[in-house]
Amino acid sequence: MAEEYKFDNSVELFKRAVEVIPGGIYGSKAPGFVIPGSYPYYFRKGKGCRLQDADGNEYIDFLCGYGSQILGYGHDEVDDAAERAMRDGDLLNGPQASMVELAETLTGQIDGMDWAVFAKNGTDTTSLAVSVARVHTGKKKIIMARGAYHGAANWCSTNVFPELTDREDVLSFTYNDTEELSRLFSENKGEIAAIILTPYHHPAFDRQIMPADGFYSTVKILSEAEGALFIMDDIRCNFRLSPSGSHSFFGVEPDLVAMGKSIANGQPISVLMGKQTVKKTAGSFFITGTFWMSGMPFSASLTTLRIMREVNLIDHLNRIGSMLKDELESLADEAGLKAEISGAPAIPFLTFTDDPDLYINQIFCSEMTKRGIYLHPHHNWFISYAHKDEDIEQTLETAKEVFKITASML
Amino acid sequence: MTSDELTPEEQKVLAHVKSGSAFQLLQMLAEEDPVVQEEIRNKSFILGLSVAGGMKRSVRISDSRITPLDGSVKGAGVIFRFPVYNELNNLLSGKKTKMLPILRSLAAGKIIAGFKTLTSRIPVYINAEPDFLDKNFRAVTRMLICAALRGIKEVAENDSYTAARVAGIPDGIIALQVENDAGLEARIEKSGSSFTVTTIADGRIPNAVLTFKDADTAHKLFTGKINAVVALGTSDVRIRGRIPMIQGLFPILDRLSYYMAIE
Repeated sequence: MAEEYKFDNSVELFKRAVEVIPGGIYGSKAPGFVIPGSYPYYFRKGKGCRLQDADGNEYIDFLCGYGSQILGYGHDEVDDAAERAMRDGDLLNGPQASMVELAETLTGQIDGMDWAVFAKNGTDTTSLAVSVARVHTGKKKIIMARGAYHGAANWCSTNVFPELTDREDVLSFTYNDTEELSRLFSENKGEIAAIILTPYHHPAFDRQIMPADGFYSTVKILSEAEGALFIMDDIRCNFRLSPSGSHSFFGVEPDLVAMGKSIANGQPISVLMGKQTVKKTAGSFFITGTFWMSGMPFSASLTTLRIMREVNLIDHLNRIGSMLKDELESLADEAGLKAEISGAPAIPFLTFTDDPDLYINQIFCSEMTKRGIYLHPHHNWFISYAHKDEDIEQTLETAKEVFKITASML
Repeated sequence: MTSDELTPEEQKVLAHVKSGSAFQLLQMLAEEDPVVQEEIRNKSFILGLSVAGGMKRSVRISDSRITPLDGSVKGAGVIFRFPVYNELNNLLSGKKTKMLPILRSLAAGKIIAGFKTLTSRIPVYINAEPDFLDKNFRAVTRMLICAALRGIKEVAENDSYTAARVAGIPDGIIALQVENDAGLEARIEKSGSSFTVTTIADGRIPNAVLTFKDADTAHKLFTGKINAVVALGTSDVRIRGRIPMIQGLFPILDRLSYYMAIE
């Protein structure tokens, strides 16, 4: 049996952090989002699908920098491109040619999208999308699925305080519940600016849910009848379902698409894309940020997009993801546990039957992580191009042992 | 800050927190404290608190037990009636207060005297001297945990500042446990907008569990000697199950700290 990892350096760093940083580590990287004691909080470096934490423990990683590392950590070609841009000064008085080239590449590649506005994080683009939709339609209300994550801005996050009124015009419905969605449109007729959806439902702390038959057609009918825009938040699924955008995978036609995370293999850039019909409104916005024209992410993104095309990324992700899903479910069954991997093959998440509070999931993922396979207990996992057959085989070998340990602890 | 500086709504919340926690502690004193056990032996009475146009709650002493009763002063031999919440706060802070004692029992004088004796035992535990703490550590810790949960309940049910966040907490049971000490457990259950505190495990599987490494950790946390965020990071406090339920308590705990700091 492998020796379990210790996290002393992580804990010491965290203690220091709490003194000078509110909460020590904030947001989704906070200790409370994993299982303290079983996970590292700080990391040193990564290469491919391998990650090293602040204590020197090594992992086969299935979080991929929360999805951003689609080709793998420290990808030489991508990093070389970014480094060249860095040595050219990176942040100049205005954008470099790479910004135009990236906009041209994306509008040529992403189905139905005619323009691109670049920012840094997913939240920048989902929030911009919502603002654009409100101005374009002259209406205020936004509809989103209950439990969906669209960023850390106050209009959509858990920052709920009486002083912050950003959520007042945000309505939510249960994903796939077309009756509830229809009722929302009906009760707020003439007031809805947009509906924002992720390609499929991937809430934290829960199994993932694919769109039901007829769900997207209902969305289309309702939003068109209302004159509301349809925003696709493709930040998380980005390029793991289709090279043409996840909306293309599901055959839907959003007015706006927000992308980020994997688009530059970890370099900080996000993009809001849209149809021609919304371009004039987007152009009327004052949009900028000091670092939004930095050249490194544009260069990294152009290289990332090229490599993804060259290596036929989707086929690889689907094959590796399916191998992981099938074998994990089978190994769980052998250990007497009923496990289900939900979501797309490249964005899997494991839950156990009759474990709505995730107790079993937390044991399994913790024990895997302490043995060098980083599996998040509450957030969907990600497959990257750097995951090869031998990584999955090693993962499954560890899982075989850990499923038995998990079963013995119940 | 004193309660006089609060808004009327905050004064109301503070009154709920203080009276709720006090009654919760009385209930536990009946289980833990020999002085209280002797005081309530063979006694039976109800003492009520009411605020004009607002809160009614009472505490029943019978069968050697103390039971808090929310929403009613029915059967009370003595009711302390306050014109506004802040007068109740004054009473619970030991300050001069304006109130009307409604005496419905011939033994009203004895009820009031008995109640004073009972409440005088609360600070013995909550602000325990070192020697007393050494001898009664487990009981003190258990009372601190339960008083904190009661405070959370009162804030969650009455404070509009946290209302939106409370609404986002999933329904279910959260258990607070101390590792390797099965008897040291308390629970808070959310059902809609109502919360219920229970001082023992009732056999139901909780939806989320917060476990203290030991009773010392629990005591230090609830007396402000260690930082909850650090305790979580060092896994001196561990969480499992439906984590958003526990995370949902943190802003309420923050708000409770605000009220607990008011003199």
